[in-house]
Order: sequence, then C-alpha cells, then structure tokens
Amino acid sequence: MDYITACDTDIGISKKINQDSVCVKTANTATGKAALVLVCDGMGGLSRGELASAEVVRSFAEWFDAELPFELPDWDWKTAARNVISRLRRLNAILMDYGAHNGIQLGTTATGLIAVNKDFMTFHVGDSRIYRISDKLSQITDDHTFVNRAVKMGKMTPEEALTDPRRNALVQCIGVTGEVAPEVRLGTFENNTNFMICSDGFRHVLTEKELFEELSPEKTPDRKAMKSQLRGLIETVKSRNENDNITAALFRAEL
Amino acid sequence: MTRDELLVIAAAAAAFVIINIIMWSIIAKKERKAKGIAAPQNETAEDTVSSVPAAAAAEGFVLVDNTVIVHTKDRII
Repeated sequence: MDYITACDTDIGISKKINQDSVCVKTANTATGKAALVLVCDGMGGLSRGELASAEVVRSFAEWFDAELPFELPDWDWKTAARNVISRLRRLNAILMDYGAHNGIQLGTTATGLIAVNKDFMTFHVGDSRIYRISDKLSQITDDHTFVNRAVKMGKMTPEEALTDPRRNALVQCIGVTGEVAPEVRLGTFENNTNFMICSDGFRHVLTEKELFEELSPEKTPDRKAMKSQLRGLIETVKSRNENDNITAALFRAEL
Repeated sequence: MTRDELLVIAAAAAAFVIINIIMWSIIAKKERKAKGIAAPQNETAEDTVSSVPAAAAAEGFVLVDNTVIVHTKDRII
C-alpha cells in the first residue's frame, strides 16, 4: 500500500498575512505506513492568528517525528484518540494563557487526519472541513459555527444561515473557548477515495460539484497532479474575489 | 572660586547629568516599543520546516513526505 498526498496554501488577494498553517507528513515504519495531514486556520478577526495556527501544527508535527515512532509498536486507536484530544485541550490552555498574559486573543481551527496502515482517525475543532471524495463528495466534519448549531436545533433554516451576519462566528476553536470538545472519528480506508482538508477560505466560493470534479481520484492519480489540481482551484478562488487565506491538503491511501 | 560658586557649578553639572539620563532612557524606551510592535507582527515569510532528526532515532521510521508550512518564526511553546 502507499499514501499519496499534497498540500498548498495562499495568502489570498486581500490579507496582509497568511494566518493558515498546514502540515503533510508520511513515513515508512517498521510496522507499515503512517501519515499526518493537518490544516489550521488562524482566526482572521483575532490578533496573532498565524502564531496560534503555527503552534498547533508544530505540536502535531513534532509528535509525528519524535513520539509516534515509539508509539507505533503498541498502537491502539482508542488511546491515540484520547491522546489527540488531550493534546488539543493542552494547546487550547497554552494559547489562552499566552493571550491572557499578553492582552491579546488568538485562536485557530484544527482539522486533521492521522493514518496508520489501512485505518485512520480524523480530529476536528472549528470550521475547517474534511471531505471524502470517491464516487461522490461528502463532508465528514461538522462546522462548529453558531449558525450550524442554530440550524441543527431548528432555530434557523439553512438558507437563513447563508446570509446571517454571525455565519463566521465559531462556537469552539483552539485558544479562545475555555473548553474544547474535539470531534474525533475512526475509520478504515477504501480504495479510490481521496480525503480533502481545507480552510473555509478554500471552499467559500467553490461549489461541491467543482470540488468533486476537480479533486476526484481520477483527476489526481499522483502527487504532482494533486498539487496541480489544488493550485488550479486556489487560483479559481482568488479570481472569484475570496478575501480569506486559502489552504487545502489532499490525501489518498492506495491499498 | 568661593565655596558657594563651586557648589553651584557642582549642582548644575549634577542636574545636567540627571536630565541627560532621563532623556536618553525615554528615547531608548520609545525605540524598543516601536521595534517590538513592528517586527514579529509583520512576519509573513513562509517557513517550511525540514525533517526533524528525532525521527531517525526509531528503527525503521523513515519520513517520506515532510511538509510543514507556518507563517511566523515566533514560538510560544
């Protein structure tokens, strides 16, 4: 089996700094393959969002390099899930403490995938998304936004949510909310299935049809094609006057 | 020179030194503040971190893809 992956990020057309961070790591190990794909979107309205997203990405990247190799021989997904939740909560406390001591508010989303051989775990806090793309496109994360929660509670229609002024307000993210309840899911890879992780800036002005057509496994047979398709969509997003930073990563396990 | 004249000169010299110290410390403080605000916040360079050698410590663990893109060199942890 093999893992194929790529990522791209762009500051966009109007922001002075790219507050997104992204990480893509794969490794051959004594027990098979392992991968980490993570997208963090530093909060646009908050100061030092790029620092918040960088800290979360660095923390997971350092875990992959320094700790995962020694965890793999006794790998257990339930323990791994607990550890990921603990790490996210610890990062939340660190960012909140840093913000309080410096009189600033900094926050980030954290949405990622950890793969070990044929199995995977997704973890998610905020409004970045993971899509599964096979013969159809499906969103496998829930947006942790005020309007999404209101829609689910029946207090708002999906149409109202699209234009509500609070549509970008998050109900939880890393570094701002006192408690975080990360969404964690376990799964097993299937052939011919891509996973796409993106910040909201990537998906705002793209339709699901476009995402499906441009990022399908058929259109992305190798890393070079993945990179090219991601760049093509980023340029499309910029041409449609999206104001946010734009980041996406693509991953496929070939069984 | 009389004793009184010497005292006046000494007092004037002391006042001059004290005023200078206060003035330069205010200037230095303002400069530090200006630098502190400008430098890290404007950091926009893409920082692509390369392989961390710790991975090599585990037998059979070989990084294949290794891309970490952040947009600040500042660190909290």
